[in-house]
Amino acid sequence: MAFSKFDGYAIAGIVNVVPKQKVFNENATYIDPNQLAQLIEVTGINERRKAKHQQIEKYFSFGLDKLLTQLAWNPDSIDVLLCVTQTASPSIPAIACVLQSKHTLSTETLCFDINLGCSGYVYGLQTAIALLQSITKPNARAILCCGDLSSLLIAPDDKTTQPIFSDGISVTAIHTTDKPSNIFFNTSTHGDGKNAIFTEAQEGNVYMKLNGIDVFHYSVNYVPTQIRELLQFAETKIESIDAFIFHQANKLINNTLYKQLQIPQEKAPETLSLYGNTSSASIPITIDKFLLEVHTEPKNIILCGFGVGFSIASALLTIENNLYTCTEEWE
Amino acid sequence: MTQLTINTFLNFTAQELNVPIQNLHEQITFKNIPTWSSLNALLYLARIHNETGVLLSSTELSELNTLRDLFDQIISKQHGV
Repeated sequence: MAFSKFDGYAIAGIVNVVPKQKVFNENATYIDPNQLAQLIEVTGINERRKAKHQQIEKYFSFGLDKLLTQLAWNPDSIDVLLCVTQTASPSIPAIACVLQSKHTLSTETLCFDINLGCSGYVYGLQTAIALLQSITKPNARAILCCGDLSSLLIAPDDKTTQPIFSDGISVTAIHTTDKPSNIFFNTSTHGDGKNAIFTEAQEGNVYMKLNGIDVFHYSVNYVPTQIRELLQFAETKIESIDAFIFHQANKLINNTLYKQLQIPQEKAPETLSLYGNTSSASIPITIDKFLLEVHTEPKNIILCGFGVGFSIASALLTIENNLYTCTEEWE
Repeated sequence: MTQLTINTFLNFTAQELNVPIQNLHEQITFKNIPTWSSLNALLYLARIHNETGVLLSSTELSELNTLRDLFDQIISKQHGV
């Protein structure tokens, strides 16, 4: 486990973008009809989203435009721009560089991409804040884009990946703040779990493969320990956490984790039923839903991303209820 | 977690894999059970974890053949072997 702590930084706003096109698992012809209802029940996923465009940069760009407008941030004021994705198409150059030019960010902006999946939002937050801390300029600002168009990597008849994964992205703004704002992180990597989720070439295409048993095994084996250690590091009792916003993997895994940690259902907001597993975008999408439902402030929350790698990252932070968040539908 | 007996194990195996208990015995190769599928295997392992606290990886599962092998592996992991 690797612990880190930062003070003086906060999330300033979140814009999530999901494609308009919906795909319903109940219509899946590639699954045995006798198993379909059980599959939907076990995963908690019926409705998923499929992108019209193959370039994730277009979705990041749409979200970035909206977020900068909403926060009234001048593009020139951004010091760090990170893009966390595993579905960059094309993969060269880095999407962060493309966005820097397209949105007229300063040529001094620190821009790069990070290749991570479901743990990527929390890793991205930690990286962005660590970079902001290293910048001498006052009031430094960062933008974190994350998410995947997973449909690009899924074989049409794959019974394990197709009913789970969904397209979606998120753009998060991070800034300095004078308010008390300790953010605690705990990160770990279990590379021996590399075969839980991976890609392989198949008849000229590259497809994602998922070993459900190993994803369950690594998640249940390591996530609860990481959360307990994070709480210990932050000297915080589990009872004082208002929400546990976990990566939306699938209902079976998430409910097993909540049970292991004795987290009541009302403290574990879910968006699986609305959007499926949106990779690294699932946490910010779920933050938006949580803030829509809860109207008191401020809130102590724990975020936890876990998946491909096998990579796990968790964070404990406080968010204000007046934080600007939204989830937009786009092409 | 309570100590698992072979009868309890066979009973919840029958329930989880949706097969009559009389069709199951210790020496059956579990991957040959007609209802065995990737989804049912995952649900079965989740049930094993819920009942016994034991987590099995796909590598461990691939090295086992019969229900008895699986039962012995669970007992051995429950004892921290």
